[in-house]
Amino acid sequence: MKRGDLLLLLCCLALAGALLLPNVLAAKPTQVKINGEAFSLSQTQTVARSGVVVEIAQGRARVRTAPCPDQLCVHTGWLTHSGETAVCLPQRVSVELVGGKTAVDGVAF
Amino acid sequence: MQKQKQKGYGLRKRRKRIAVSSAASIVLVIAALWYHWYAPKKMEYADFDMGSVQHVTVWLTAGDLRKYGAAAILPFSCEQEVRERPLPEELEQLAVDSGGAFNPYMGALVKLWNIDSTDGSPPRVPAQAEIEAALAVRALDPGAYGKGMACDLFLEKHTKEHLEGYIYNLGGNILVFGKKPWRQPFKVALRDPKGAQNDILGVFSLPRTNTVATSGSYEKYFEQDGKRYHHIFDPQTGYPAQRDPGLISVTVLSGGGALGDALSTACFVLGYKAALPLLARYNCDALFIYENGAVRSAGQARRYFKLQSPAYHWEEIT
Repeated sequence: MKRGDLLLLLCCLALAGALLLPNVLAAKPTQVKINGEAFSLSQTQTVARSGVVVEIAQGRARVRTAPCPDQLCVHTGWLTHSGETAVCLPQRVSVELVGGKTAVDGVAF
Repeated sequence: MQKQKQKGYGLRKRRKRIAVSSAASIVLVIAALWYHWYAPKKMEYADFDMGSVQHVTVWLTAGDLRKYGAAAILPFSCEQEVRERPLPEELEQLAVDSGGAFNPYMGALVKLWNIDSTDGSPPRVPAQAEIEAALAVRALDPGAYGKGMACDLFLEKHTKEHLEGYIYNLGGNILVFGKKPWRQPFKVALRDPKGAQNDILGVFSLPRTNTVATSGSYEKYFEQDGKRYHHIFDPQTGYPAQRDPGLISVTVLSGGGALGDALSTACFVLGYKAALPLLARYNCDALFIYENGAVRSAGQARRYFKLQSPAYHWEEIT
């Protein structure tokens, strides 16, 4: 095999790799969806919906405060993996990490 | 002469090599491009329905994506329909087959205990006379099968679209339909009944259309005088079911949503041993989870389930 062939093969491999890489490497969640609205996880910010305050920082998110009596969503704590959710049923607010690889397709309970 | 022949042969060999390697490269690039642009895409949608979170995941091929786009997961609500529909015939039959362990007509009793309080008034332990009076009243309550019925309604509504595969999750009651790309099984995690919201007990790998329904004593309950009262009532006593001591949750795999949901309630009331013939009769699989971390399998459930939490262990009953 001449050097030219090798170069061509390498170029093709690199191109194929570049196309496939984003799918393979995206292990970490990239966005948080609050009632379907997407926010970037790389930006530190707080978002309030129906009195539920969601804190986004360092690639993770949590419900910091909520006006509901049971405080289930607050006790859920930081969400770090894709597919994890914190839900406040009384206020009808759902927080979910998306993007990246999810280990499971759904959670039964 | 000899030399020339060899040279010609070498040239042909090299040309062949170049042809093979460039063909391989081209195939690789086409495959990568195909994967990039045409591989099945995952679309998700979340909303609230029937007092729970509704989560829809759809896998679409490129063709379907063009055909349906975002319409594939248009908002779906069935709260009203579930309330208005009469009790399905198979559930009427299940009430008989389960020896009354599944009883959809306990609306008055559910209201009396008030565990699922909607107006903020606290739940309470009623007096014996009140319970007996409530048990005598026949009032349909979709609580034990409503979310499962929602799965059936979702399936009904989406049969015409020939979607490749989807998961409909209403408050933990799950319908998986069709197939995922690359023939991968659907991965459905089961929440740890004793853990936090994102703790997982293990994972089901479901190869085909299936519903997953869970009835547990851990989700809705209240405490009075140091005693815990959960929301699944034994139709015989009118009190929270406790025939199988230590049982905290039953998860049923079934072909039908409403049936699976109702079966999980019946199994929770009956307990492991009494539920086995019922599950066999309906050809359904189930997992029974106990306070002490024991997990018992009925039917084929164990084959589909992988335990992940170290706090639980399989228990064989002979």
